[in-house]
Amino acid sequence: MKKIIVIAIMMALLVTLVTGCSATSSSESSEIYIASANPMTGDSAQFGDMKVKAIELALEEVNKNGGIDGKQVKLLVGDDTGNPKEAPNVAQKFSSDKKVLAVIGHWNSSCTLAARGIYESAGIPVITDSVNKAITDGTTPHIFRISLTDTTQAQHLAKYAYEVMGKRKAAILFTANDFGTGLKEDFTATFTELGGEIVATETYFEGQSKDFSPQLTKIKSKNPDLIFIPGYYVETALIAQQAQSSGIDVPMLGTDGISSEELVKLGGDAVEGIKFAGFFHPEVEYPGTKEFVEAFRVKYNKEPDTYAALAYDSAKLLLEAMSQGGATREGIKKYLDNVKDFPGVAGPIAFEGNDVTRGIIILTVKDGKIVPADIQP
Amino acid sequence: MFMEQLSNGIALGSIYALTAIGFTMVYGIIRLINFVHGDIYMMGAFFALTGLTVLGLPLIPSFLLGMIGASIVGVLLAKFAYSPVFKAPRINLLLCAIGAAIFLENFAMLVWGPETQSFPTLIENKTYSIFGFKATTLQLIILGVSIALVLILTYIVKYTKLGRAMRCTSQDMEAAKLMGINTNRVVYFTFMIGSSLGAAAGVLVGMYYKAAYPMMGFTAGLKAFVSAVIGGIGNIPGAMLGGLIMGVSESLGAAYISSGYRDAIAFIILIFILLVKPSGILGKSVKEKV
Amino acid sequence: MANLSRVLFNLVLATAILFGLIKILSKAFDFVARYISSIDKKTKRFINIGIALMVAIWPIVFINQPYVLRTSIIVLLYIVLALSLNIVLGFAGQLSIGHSAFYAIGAYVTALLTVNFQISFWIALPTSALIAALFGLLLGIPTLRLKGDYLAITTIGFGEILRLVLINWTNLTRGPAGIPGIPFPKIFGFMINTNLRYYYLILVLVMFTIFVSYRLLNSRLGRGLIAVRDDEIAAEAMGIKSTYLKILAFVLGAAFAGIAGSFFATYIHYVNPDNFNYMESVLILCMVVLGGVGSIPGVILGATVLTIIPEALRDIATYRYAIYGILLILMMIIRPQGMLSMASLKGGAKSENSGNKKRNKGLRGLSGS
Repeated sequence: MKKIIVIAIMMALLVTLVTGCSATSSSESSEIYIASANPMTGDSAQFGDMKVKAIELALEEVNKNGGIDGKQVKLLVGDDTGNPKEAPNVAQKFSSDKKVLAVIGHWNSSCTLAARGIYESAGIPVITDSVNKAITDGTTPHIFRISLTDTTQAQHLAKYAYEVMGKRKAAILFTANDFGTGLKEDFTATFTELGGEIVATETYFEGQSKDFSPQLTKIKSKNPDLIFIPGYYVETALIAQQAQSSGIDVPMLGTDGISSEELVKLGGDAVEGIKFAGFFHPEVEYPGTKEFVEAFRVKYNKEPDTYAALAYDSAKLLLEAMSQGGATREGIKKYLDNVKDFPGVAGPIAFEGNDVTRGIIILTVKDGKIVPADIQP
Repeated sequence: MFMEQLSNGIALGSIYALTAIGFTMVYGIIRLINFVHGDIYMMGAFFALTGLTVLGLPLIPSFLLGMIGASIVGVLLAKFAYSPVFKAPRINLLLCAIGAAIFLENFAMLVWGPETQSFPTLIENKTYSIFGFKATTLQLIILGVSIALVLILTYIVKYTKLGRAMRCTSQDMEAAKLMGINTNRVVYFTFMIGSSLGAAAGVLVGMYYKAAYPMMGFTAGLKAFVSAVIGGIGNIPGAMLGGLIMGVSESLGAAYISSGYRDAIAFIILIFILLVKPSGILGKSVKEKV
Repeated sequence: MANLSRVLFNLVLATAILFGLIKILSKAFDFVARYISSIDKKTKRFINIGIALMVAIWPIVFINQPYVLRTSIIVLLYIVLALSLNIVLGFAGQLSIGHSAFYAIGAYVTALLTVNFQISFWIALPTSALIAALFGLLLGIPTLRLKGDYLAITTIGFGEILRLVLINWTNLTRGPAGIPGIPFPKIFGFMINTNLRYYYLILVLVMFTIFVSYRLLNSRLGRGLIAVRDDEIAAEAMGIKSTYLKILAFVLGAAFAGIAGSFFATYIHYVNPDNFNYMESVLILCMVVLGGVGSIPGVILGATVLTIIPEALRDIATYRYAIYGILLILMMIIRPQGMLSMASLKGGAKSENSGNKKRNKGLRGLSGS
């Protein structure tokens, strides 16, 4: 008797599972979905938050004008916590969800690297802004990068430091993640090739280190004429302040990771004069830049940063792809392959070997404001 | 460069010490690895920041707001999260603390947003220099506050009636109850003091680095734990000593070994000290009774 | 402030719902435990076969749902990890919060061997286990002197040191960039390259871990371990070599974590130091304690629940971990002994309280000092 009961319970369980799951997968809706897979909790949550805000702004604009072919576009937000362990799960979730047409995301290179195989096998187009060069090594034609690779950016910056700023002895203080390490290596290569010298290389941990005085004291004793800081704005602001209080008066050079109003808010007068790479600045106007900055300010009471601008462009690009190439994964991918001079708020967009072709802007902080530097590369 | 690195280390060490004092205090009474301490420290910084920017209060009231707010959070946690599991195995208490830490980090992220917020500059930061030692005003304040707190707390624990009750409770909660000590009150009081100390550290460190963010407590809590253990967990002057040892070794390690292994150096010292003297430098070793 | 009240409202609501849910589930777990402890051997075997069958046909049912399949694989992976920690924590009573270090060693050994030297996964898997076990021995030795909280901080330190080595030793590990391109495992020309095949691979590893756990628990060694956990001094007085047993527990636990790491590396095809941080160790610890320290079915359940919950909550991205924290606290308050505790499975403890007191005394060693 007992056995029969047990069998019955198990069968019932199995049947409910099967029916329950098949029921959820077969719903067809009149809405179009794209997804954001970015860190919403954890150490890098602030970056994911910015990106989602920008994407939502882009969707809102399109939906107000009737959507794509009369369908409203909705955003699904997935949290990868900035951890490469979680990223594949998010990727799988969106990839197997047939209604999701494209993904904007993975801010961290490690997450994109961990997840890209899943997107590729599902044939879902992804626009990422992570910079590690391995992401677009040709094995994953569905992954498009809207920012420059670390190599290209480092080369631009090293050339700028050597040729325009006239620096010969650089010290590097890099964040110990894939972003910082990649930039450190490529900057070192180009800078020494040009004839410069790297006098010190020190490191720290993003989101954990707050005291940089030992590293700075060490750098100071090597008398560099430039400090290159591949990292993000929070740490860079702290580094600048601590450099100031320990009496280091050396020009600093940063990456797109610090291209944010927050840098000035956190760093105060210590970041005055710091130069850094950017892909976007409200004053470097392209069609739509002004409107985007204005709309972003009104909606969120915040200044959009590079990541916000790139996320906004990614969303706009996907929306355009849907209306031009059709609201399917293949259609979007085809459109992205062939897109030429798409008018983005951070400059025209075209992909070559899945990498965007764009230059960098050199920005600087002047009187508490981020402005384009006098001499551009 | 050595003197400069040494003063860097002492400045950093006094920050660790300040955080570790509250931590070791709670441990001393309740024998709980208070994983929440770092997050209480973060809450303190955020409460004070809210006072300064949203409510527009001056420095001292904001500072007090931070301490009071954090101690309320601490007592609420003690009441709703910890005291129901005091009777359960110790590991449950540990897990409750971990759960509370995860909760507080994400709660702060929901309320104040995930981005790093800047602390306004309130104290003019001058640099003083004596015999090659360098220190800024805030570093001196932090060092001074830590020393003062060590003295005050040692006095409270050693010489007041409440302190005696605390020590009783820490030795044997059941026996203390039988002796007419209101152990619940002692526990809440301990949490209140521990949390307000954590908050004080959070506000001072927030001011020092001019930044506050939801995840700031994570590393700070871990470092406080390590400092407390090095000095002898539960021992208040030990926490101060442990913090300074950590700060100096990290700073010298980053300077002369490698900045990438900076945190590892602290842990290597920890393991070494534990292997040589398992109860920490100033800790008393307790023999297990058969 | 409007933000604050909205957040508070949502969280209080979540707490209330969770509280009710856990209360109900707690009753259900009691019922299940009582049922399991009351049934005879024959029915038990029958149920086991039923469960095994269900687990075996599970992926075939969900073959068109890669997300379900993937989550199931991750669940199985964490079952191996949680069971490996259970040997250290549940059987030997040693509080280790650096378990992800062994997991990392397994993953990196496999990654390095298969990527740099093109060595087959089937050689890399036992090698990973072996090297992880060696490190387990290394960490096991300090346990001779350390107890409770001191041991806990030492294991945290061990985990952090290892992670920093992985980050800084860039010549070997490629540092924070991680090692991509770990190949699919191949056996006699049969490539394991789909979720379905990975599922069966990890299922075999889970079976092996469960088998070893049960054999260990019911062997002389296991009995000895439990005696050491309950009262080390008394156990030594009875002639049990506690030192040897404790180190053995660490070595075994590390080896299984290494196996899990090895599987993880081939499944994700990418390893990165960020995978193996301190929170990962804490997560594994939570699985063991939530499931029921020392109880094998409990730990399996714990790993399953704690892997599925964050997945289920993924849609409420920002509230996810806040609710996770509340859940941990509530579970510990309402059900301190874990979902399916060792005592309740044996039908020993009738009421929760008596069970607690017994275990409280036994586990006091965990706090040490």
